[in-house]
Amino acid sequence: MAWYRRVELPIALTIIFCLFQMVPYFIVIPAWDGAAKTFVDWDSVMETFALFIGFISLLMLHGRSVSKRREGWYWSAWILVTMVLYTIIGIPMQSIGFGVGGAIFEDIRMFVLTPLSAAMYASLGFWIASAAYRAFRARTVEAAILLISGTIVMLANAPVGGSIWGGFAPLKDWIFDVPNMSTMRGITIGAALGALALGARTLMGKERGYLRGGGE
Amino acid sequence: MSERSGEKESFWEKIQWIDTRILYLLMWVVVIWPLISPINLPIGIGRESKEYYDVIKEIPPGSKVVLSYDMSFSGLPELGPMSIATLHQLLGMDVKVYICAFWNQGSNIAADDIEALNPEVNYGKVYGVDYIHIGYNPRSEVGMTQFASDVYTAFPNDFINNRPLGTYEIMEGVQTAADFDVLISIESGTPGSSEWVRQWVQPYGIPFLVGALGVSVPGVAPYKNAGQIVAFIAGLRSAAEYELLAGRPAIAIAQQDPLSTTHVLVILFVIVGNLGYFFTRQERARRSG
Repeated sequence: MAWYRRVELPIALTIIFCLFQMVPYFIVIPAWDGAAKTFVDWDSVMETFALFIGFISLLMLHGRSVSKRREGWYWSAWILVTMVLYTIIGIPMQSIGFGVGGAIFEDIRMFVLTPLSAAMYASLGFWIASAAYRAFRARTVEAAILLISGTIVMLANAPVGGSIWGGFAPLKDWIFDVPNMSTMRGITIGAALGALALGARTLMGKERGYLRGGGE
Repeated sequence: MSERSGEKESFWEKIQWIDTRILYLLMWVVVIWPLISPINLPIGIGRESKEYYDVIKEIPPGSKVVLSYDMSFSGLPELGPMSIATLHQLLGMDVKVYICAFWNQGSNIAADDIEALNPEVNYGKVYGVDYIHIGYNPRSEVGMTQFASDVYTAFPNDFINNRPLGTYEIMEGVQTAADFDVLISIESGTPGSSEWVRQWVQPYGIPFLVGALGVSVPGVAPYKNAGQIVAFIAGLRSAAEYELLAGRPAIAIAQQDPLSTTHVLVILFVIVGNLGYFFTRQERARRSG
């Protein structure tokens, strides 16, 4: 196999570039630090390429779906139309209303994208209400504790809770400060240890999940 | 046993399975009704919003404050009131404000906030001298690293005039994160507080304040408890409290009544669902034996 196709090459590059980013956190070497910053700048070029690849792969995926008239192909067509149109409208040509600050671009943002995004998020309220009614059942002691805690937090978060009883806010604070804090700390520290282990495995070349699906 | 298996459903069984459309309709009514006819329930000031307001109030004159709009339009109903009230409080002080965004829509929201507040007219502030919108960096946590090590590489031009940052008076003496005094992030998620803590708070020891969505509280609170976040507000309730403290009552306060009615309705749903569950279980136990 040609040297440039060997799996050791990306592993070696990963180790080298990881070390370049890690060392400045512990030792100050001006030249090393400068190189690390340059590599961070390189990253922006690569990310721009990734964005372009994402655009192309969406075009290919949905273009194929439209051309083969797969189920729901019209949604794919709609994605293609909006994606291409908004890309064109995003080109900085303010004289004809395109680009950030241009009339057409800003109108679409303000009167289409903003209300649609807010509506999507707001619709969660309806689903949560329905889910709370159907799924939030005190089937076990743990579920009952969760239910009571949730109710206290909800009442403390709305002005109506304070109007009913002033004790909801301190109770909510206790729930956040004690049980929630300890649990979240456990999760955060656990995740950090996991990330540390992943980093060490990557540095040692043992973690290959990012290479061609993890294979040799 | 139920109607599905041939037997008639009891009242308690039925109330466990009310049609979703009825639930949605009730939800819709309790949102609309207080907006048309406000109840105006009193809003008490919580400790988080008081702390957030006080920490900003105590920022020494001449300080350089970064205000990062790390949010999208979907988070706007909850975070918008916080961001504009924060900017309002900062513009009312003798500090330099550097507005940026690490979420693509954040830069537009920031521009809208600036336009709504009109700092030149209402606060006597000059763009490029007292405040600046340095724009959007698309590179998430790596962008924050870059911002920390070299502001001008992360944000070459400003957002409003698209001019090189170095040409503005406000940028004099600013090169890295070490040159800023306070960092505030109004955030929807990732990148957000965790990334700022890793790239700015720990390496540079910069005081960090956060405005977050209500659902983010469990994730943000441990950083606050560890001292990595100095103060934070989360959710619409805190936003309303902060609006009151900052002396700019606006949309978050108007939304408090629907917040109350919807919360009460959800609690009623939970109670009804559980009553149905318990009595159905009792009925079944009685029938079987």
